[in-house]
Amino acid sequence: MPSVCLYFQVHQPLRIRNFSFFDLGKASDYFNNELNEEILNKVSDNCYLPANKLLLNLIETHKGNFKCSFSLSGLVIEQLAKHRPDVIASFKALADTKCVEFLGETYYHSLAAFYNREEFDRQIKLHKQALRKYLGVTPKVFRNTELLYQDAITETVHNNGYEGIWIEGSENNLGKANTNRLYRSHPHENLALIPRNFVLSDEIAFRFHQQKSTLKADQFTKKILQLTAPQNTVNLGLDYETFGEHFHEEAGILSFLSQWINNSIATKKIEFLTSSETIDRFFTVKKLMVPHITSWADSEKNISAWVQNDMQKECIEKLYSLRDIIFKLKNRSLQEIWSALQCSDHFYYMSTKQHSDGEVHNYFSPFDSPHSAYIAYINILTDLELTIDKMRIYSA
Amino acid sequence: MVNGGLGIACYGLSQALADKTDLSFIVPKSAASPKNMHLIGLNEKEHAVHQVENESIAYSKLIKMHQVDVELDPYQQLPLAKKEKVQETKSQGIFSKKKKSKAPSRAVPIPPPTSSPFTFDIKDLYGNDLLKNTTVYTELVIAETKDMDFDVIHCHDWMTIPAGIELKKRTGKPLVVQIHSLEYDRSGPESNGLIFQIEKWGMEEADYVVPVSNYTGRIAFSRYGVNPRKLFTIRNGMESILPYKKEKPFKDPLVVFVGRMTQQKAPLQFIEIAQRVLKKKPNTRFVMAGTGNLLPETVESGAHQKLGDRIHFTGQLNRQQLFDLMAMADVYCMPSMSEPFGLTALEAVQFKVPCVISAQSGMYELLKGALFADHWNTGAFAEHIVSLLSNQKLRSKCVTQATKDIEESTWEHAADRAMALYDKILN
Repeated sequence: MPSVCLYFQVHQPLRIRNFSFFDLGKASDYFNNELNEEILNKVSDNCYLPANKLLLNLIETHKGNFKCSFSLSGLVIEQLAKHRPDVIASFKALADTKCVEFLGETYYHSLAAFYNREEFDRQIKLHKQALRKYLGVTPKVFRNTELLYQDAITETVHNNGYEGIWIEGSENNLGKANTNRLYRSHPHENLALIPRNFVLSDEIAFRFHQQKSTLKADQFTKKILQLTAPQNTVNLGLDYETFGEHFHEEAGILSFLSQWINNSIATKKIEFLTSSETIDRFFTVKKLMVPHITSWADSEKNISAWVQNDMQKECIEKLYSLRDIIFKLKNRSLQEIWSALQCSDHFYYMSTKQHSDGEVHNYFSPFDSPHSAYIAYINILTDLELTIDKMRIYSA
Repeated sequence: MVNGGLGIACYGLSQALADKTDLSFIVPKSAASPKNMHLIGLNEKEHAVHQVENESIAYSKLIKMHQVDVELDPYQQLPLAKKEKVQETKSQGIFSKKKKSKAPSRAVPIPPPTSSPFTFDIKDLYGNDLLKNTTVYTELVIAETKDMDFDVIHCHDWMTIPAGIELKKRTGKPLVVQIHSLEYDRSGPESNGLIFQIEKWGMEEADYVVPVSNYTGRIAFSRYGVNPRKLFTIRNGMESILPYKKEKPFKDPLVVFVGRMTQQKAPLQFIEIAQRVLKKKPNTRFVMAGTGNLLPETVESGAHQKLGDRIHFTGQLNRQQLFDLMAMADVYCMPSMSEPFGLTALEAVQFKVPCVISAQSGMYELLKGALFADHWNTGAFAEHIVSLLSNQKLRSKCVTQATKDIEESTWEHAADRAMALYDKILN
């Protein structure tokens, strides 16, 4: 039977303040705590809680026939644990059904995979600990930040005991190969690659409600049936915030989700599987070589959403150049601050892309321009350096 | 605000003049009410009642220019604009005439469309509807001065030139055109657009042209062909500041740039200067205060050189922030391509900050105690900065001399010069 492997991405960054030159050396907060909490509450109430409730109901109704996967960044888990334990509890309830699988990722939703292998490894482990602690689960399938992928990262992922990894089902990963199958990674052949069908995923994420037309559940079921030949799997990956935040409930996004799931199960032609079940069922011999960096972002589907212009490059290089000294100082709070500054979102806001990609960047950015985002960030790095200098004096 | 030396200059001069003569001060917006003068904020008047005479001499000239000048294209609205009636209304504001008995003569300085310098919004001056606003402004000034008695018309910069000329044609009163900044300064030697033409026209029609420095006078003479006999320099004064020192958040020396991020102020050259300074003194830090169309490019250029952690951008500063910055600065640098005066340098001097300034500026003839370099010579700028950062003797020599240099730079003094000019015109 053809199957659908569905995963939801849950992430909230620790957004930084508009940190100015005049804030330097004043021991000011780097993070915009008010804004972060406000957004967390808004998204929790609009999306996380109602959508979790809906999925839990569906799981109970369909008695194990509905399954899906989740990827929660360490930063969102940390923020929810602090401010919204009710949301953590609702994720825990989903985990307890055994119908929901949680994926591994980098704790800080970072680009560490491409800047510091050791840091990448550290964050994978940190994230694993967080999943155990808060949800009582151990992840088996990996999903790197924004589906960023390259052959070079498979070693670390494999060494951390993962069986598979999600990648974007784009041409720069697959060439002409079929999106709706699994592949083996290179050089670590034991890792399964799950390509995301971005055409169908974006059908919901970007095109659910366009102009006056809204996507209908039965239309979507039909589209999936057309694609799922007997040996195929349709792998869908979506920002969880799509459901209730990017599209509001009034647009009917939540009822779409439940109708589509009900419909699909009612056809008896579609099976929902978790990520590791999908790997068990569809693992093949065909290898995929990906020497360059790919991702699910923007039209280029590479790393350019975060690292393209000089501002982004300067900030990220500067940030990672501070790692050694930060770890030598053995100061936990400083380490955590530095780590949270790795969150890919900070660099995403600095993107100077135009047109529809640029619009998406703007939608998410709390800054009025990429340049303001850069100025605040680089000022923070400067302040961090001044703090390091102080620590050296007083810890000597 | 950091942006807008013009507003500050008009404000300072008018304040000082108001003590010496009867003064009507016509501004498009009035937020604050300066002491002792007759301030007419046009946004506080009912405009709908004003009559506009379409075939006025001044306008016909403006329209004629519109027809001959290619660069007018972006401003095609111009002939239409004058037919529009501004409907903006507010109840009667400060509009009671005030006369001083002692005053020997009366002048009507027409400052540019700014509000008080402290609420100055750059968009008012450089926004898209600028030309239209200038035209409307002219209409309103004409209506406003209908029943007014005065002896001299004194207007400031190109936005008020059409109003000044129109008023002169109607009343026969002498016209003084004060030049705070020219299109040549803002756009370089190639400037030949509508604004350049308005400036040229204004200086031709004027009985006296008042540049804020001999440097600007030379540009008026050489680039605009103004008769040098009509030139009468009046240097700006400055607001007297009680200087203080403020501890920097770091030990590194600090070099500051303050100004609009536009071609005229040469922010990209400043990045190049910073880069050169850092080669010799790698621990130096730089602050660039101000905004403008070149800000994104300047920021990116700094990032490209990987100097973002050494060059800090602050955006636009308020007075207090600007003073705090000056109180921290070790060197003030003004690499402008062409700077008629350079008021901010006077502030730096008051804060005892040694200055490195473009030789293409009004400061060149005023400040003996500053170091100068031709604006294109970023190497020389960098050398001067490095010298000032390494040589304590040179620093104090510069500061002492510069402090002496600016003793005469008061608005009182500027107002005396203006009064002397009015006397010359009227007698």
